[in-house]
Amino acid sequence: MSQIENVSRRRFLTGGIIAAGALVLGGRYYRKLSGGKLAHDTNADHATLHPSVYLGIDPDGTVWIVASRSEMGTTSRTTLPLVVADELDADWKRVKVEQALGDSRYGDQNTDGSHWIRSFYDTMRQAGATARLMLMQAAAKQWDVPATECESDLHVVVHRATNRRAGYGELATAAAKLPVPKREELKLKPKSAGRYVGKGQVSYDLEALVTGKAIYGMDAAWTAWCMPRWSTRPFSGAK
Amino acid sequence: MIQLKVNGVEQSFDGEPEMPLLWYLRDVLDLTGSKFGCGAGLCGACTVHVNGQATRSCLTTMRDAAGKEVTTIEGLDKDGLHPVQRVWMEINVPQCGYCQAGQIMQAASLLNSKKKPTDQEIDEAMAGNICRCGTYQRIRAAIKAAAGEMT
Ligand code: FES
Ligand code: FES
Repeated sequence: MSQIENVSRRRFLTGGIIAAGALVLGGRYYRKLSGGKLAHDTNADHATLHPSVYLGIDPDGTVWIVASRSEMGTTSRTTLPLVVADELDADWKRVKVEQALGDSRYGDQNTDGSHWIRSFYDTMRQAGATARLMLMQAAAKQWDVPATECESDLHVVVHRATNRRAGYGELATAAAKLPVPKREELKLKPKSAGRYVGKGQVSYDLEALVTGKAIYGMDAAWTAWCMPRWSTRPFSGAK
Repeated sequence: MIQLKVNGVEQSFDGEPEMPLLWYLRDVLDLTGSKFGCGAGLCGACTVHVNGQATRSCLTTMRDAAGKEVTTIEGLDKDGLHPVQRVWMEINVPQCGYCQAGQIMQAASLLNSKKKPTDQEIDEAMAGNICRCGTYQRIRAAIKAAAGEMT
């Protein structure tokens, strides 16, 4: 039983009110709910290479990154995925950010207390570093060279000595067959090697924000599900 | 029966004539880009164009909107690339974005009537649009930049 199904109406209402000002760009979640099933999966979950709940890589090179904190307007939906992308050495243009589902594996998903960077920075880096290492190991195996001689370079793995390169997408299937490395095996990149963090990236949702397409808590509509929604009278004073 | 045009499409409405236009846009037409902030004309989050003029849709009744042409953020430009929207992206104006549909509609209306607004004119026109995130400096810079782009 997932957490959201067990949640009491009272707790649900509280959550709803807290989230009223938050961006809830969880369209998939809504569709799943309205389909009557609560299937807990994201595109990242379905991706070929999926070493962490926070990301997945498809053979076409698409990198899915799960935003596991609710967006309260402080761009956590951009910043945390950006940390993953930086450590993965992914091309941000090929990253698709998706909102986490209502599932306990992501924790409470709160964005309160200004702690999400502090609390999740290392976790995000580890998620990126895990996938990056697996991709390098897969390439090393294919090229029959030591993995330590391979490097990443913006969405590709390179072996400079033999001048070979393979895209993340191409390597995803082979990498998925490898065991997920332990935390101790990960080598995080030095901060100076980052492409994005601290360089002033714009919000992933910028276009949605200026076109009225961004869905906020109060915009979310559930059709086939009994949802507490603000029931408004046609005008004030109306019965 | 109330007839009106919303984003170029003819609509008819036979509900309460006193219903605010904002309710109609959001709950009936599902155009949720216009936001509810105060419902009392104090914040500007609900700003749309009525016959080309920036108007608070929370204070506009359906009766008032009868026979009018309403434009919302969704209909400002079919590709979402009105000069104001383009500049808003270039300058990275929004933070949370909640107020921004209102800000953009207000700014677009200002630039329709004044090609090169002064700082004071910008401040006056935008005074009723509140931004909780405090993006005011970027809004002003963006309006000036957009003024250069709109011919
Ligand atoms: S909602 Fe209309 S001015 Fe605040
Ligand atoms: S951008 Fe957040 S309220 Fe204006």
